Amino acid sequence: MDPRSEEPLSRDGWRRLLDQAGADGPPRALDERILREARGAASASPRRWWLPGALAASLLLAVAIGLQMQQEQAGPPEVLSEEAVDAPVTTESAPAAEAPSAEPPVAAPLPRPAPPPPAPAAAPRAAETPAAAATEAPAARAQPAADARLRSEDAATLQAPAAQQPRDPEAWLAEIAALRAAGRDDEADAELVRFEQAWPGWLERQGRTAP
Amino acid sequence: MREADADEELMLRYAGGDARAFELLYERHRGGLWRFVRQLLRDPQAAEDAFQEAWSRVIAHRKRYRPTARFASWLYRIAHNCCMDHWRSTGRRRAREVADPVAVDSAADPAAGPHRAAAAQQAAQALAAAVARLPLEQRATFLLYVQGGLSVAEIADQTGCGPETAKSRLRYAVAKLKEALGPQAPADD
Repeated sequence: MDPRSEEPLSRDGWRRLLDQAGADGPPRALDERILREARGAASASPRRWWLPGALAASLLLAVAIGLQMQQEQAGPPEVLSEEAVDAPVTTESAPAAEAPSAEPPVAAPLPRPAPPPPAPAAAPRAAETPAAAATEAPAARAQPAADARLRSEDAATLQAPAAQQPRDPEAWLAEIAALRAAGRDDEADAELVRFEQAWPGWLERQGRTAP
Repeated sequence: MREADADEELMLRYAGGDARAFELLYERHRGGLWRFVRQLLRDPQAAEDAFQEAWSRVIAHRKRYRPTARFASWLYRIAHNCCMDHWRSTGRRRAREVADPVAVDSAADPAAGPHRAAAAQQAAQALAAAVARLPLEQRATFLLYVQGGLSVAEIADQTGCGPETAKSRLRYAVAKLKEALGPQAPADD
């Protein structure tokens, strides 16, 4: 017979006799010590702080994610409102920023006394850094020719690293001519040097004279 | 909480932080476990220490308890380990093979008992004395089987012997107890 499944004798009769022989239990003081230890361990159970802590952490995480998503969704309308303000700056550079090309642009509008139509893509880039916005603010208060130049420079500076494309030569020459007309010859000369570096031999090829 | 909740369920509740579940468990098993360690160790102070240590281990290991076996089996195994630790620490295992004189004296003359006390109480005292005279392995096997409710296989596993050895120890122990109690010994059925 398998000893693992065998019950060699009945326990009940022996157990009753043993219980009668030692009817006394442990001392009450010992009972108290053990029960006190058990209650203390139960009250110190990690469950007491772990569950509320986990719930609080989950709630905090959910709120943070919700706020982040809300900010991301609210982002485009805010940029669009800035776009309306900065639209004139980005007119000539927006297509280059959207689709960089090795070919220089063939034609571009003259410096802008009046705002041209808005360009959706370039404005957010101009508004990405507070420094760019701060630079643009005083430029907006300058005289029209200098204003156009500064704003064009800002736009070119912001977009040059991304597009790596020289400015439109016609517009650039018009700006230089405007500087000369305003009596700012030093600035016009310096700008002309930069033009020659960007468009070497362009004036000769076009049969034009330097402004 | 229902009084009839299984020991295993109560232990799981206690592991989850329900102190009342432990109180119920303790109330159910304190008497039996006390008699177990008291009869196994035969030293009141050592029995108190082992009894408290056993429950302390239950408390400390509550998170690791898995109801793969009866709670009582787990409890009495722990208590048996505590008794073995006591023997190891005191180095008195061999000395404990000598019978407890108090227990033996209480049943020195079973035939005189009926004139002084009830027959059942006389038989209980005789049994306590006879258990105290058993060799340690037989005593532990008998008490684990009767008081702790362990199976022969569980006793073999707990005491580090084969099932046949455990079964043999149990038979020898019962034979000696029957001889000591005579007609007062319980029936086997």
